[in-house]
Amino acid sequence: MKLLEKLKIDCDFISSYLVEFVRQEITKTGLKRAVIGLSGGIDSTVSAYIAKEALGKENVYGILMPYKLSSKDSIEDALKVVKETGINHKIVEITEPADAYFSKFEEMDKVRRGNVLARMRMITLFDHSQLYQALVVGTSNKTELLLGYGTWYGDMASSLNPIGDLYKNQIYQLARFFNVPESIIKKKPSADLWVGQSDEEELGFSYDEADVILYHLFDLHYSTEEVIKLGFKEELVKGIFERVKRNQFKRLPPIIAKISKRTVNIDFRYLRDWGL
Amino acid sequence: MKIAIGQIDTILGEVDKNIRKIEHYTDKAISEKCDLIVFPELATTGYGLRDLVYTATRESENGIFNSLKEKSNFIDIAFGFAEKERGYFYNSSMYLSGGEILHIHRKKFLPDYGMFEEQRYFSPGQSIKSFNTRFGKTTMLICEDAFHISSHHIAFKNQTEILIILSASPFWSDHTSMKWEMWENVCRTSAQLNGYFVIFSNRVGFEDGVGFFGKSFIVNPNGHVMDEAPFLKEVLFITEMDLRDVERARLFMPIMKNEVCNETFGKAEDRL
Repeated sequence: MKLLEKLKIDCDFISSYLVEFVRQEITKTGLKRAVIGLSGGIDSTVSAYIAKEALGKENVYGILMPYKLSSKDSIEDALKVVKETGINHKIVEITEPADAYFSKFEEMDKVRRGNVLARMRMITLFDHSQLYQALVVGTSNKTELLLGYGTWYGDMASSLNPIGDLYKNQIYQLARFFNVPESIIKKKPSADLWVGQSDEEELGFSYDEADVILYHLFDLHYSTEEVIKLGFKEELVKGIFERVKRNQFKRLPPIIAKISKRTVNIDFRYLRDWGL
Repeated sequence: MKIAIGQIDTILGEVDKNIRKIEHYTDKAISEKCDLIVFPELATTGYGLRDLVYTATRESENGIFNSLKEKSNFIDIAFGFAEKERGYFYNSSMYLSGGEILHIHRKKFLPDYGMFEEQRYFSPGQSIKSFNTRFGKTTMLICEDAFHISSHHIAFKNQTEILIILSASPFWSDHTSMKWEMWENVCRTSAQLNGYFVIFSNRVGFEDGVGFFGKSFIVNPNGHVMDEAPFLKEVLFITEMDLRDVERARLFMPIMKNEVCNETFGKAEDRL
């Protein structure tokens, strides 16, 4: 069995499960609408298709948030998603507010700038969630979440996330299942935070490699040594493991100093769905 | 015999509302002339209780169950509830019949691995007992209980005819299996080896992202899934079962007949 085949999912079941997840976890809060940041990438596209199935096209708002240096393809692909799904959309340029902030500083490296862009988009999405009385549907996949390849309180921020337990490869399977526009499937994954950015170049490994390694390490409880024996370089496997560990904080709310007998999230423990 | 499964969703911690829903489906089952209705695990409270155990648990004699007791004059009712007794909490199921509590089972095996935290909040039941209903010898198990072969052994030893499994089973899958396959394997094997009906009642709905998949089903004493409720959907699921199938299966494969003299029940001389 090829290792990547282990990640094969039953798209029929998984998509209907995710559609119900979005429908139920939004409507039980008393709301019925969703806001999604549409980047033209595969993740937000799949999230948008799921949200549309769950809530109906009239209840989904795709927000396109280009910066002046964003790739043209990003906008074009996002508009294809809007056209195919029939959801509402709005283009909110973030160039002005982002540049206003950048102008306060003489020099900013690309990581700082990228984080500001991601968080400017977060502000826009949550503002529109108030405007439309909607919840923000997240678009971070499991590969990103585990690797910590995202901006904390930026693109990682949402109210609910249908695709956070799916590896990048599984997102592609769903994308094909939903018949999303071919250009979105074909193009190289990119956070598009600076010109010419490529996820796989920046990470230093391919998503397929990462998916297989992560699946064995964490889903199947393989040790790093056992994963190396599957035919991966030691440096790669250990590097990925360290990345996951180092970025645990991004997957949690802030830690709280316990003082009382009942501390929020430590021994004051209720689910979000309390009473819902 | 006509059996209903109330494959329901619940509102976390809202006992009154959940009991009203149980009553509602019970009324529907009565009007459909069902003989027994089975609800899922923790049907009065929802599953992920955490600190809600302090407020959402009830004593079995609490008046909140009176209306269901009343209805059990018309239909037998089995449901999961979060039980309180003298400051301790149990993940329990209650079987009502003829206006009374016929039996209470307290979940014996409380999962505390992976996403589960039951052992942190609940005390374990001390035994699994079988009891007589108007339909025959019955045994109730709650979810994880059914993953222990010892539970099935007790049901077998007690000559169970109907095994009821109340469940709040979360969905998961990997490249080799879907969660419900495990339930089908367990229930079909148990039904076939022990020659009894298995009623698997699982809840639906989501709690903080955890999806309970439904797909409740009934297995006949030959190990066949007779009928299966839908994935994720709240329904009143009704099936006919012929209790004589237990006898028929045992005529065909009288497993117990040759069991009684071997070590499963103690040495042969113990029986003489």
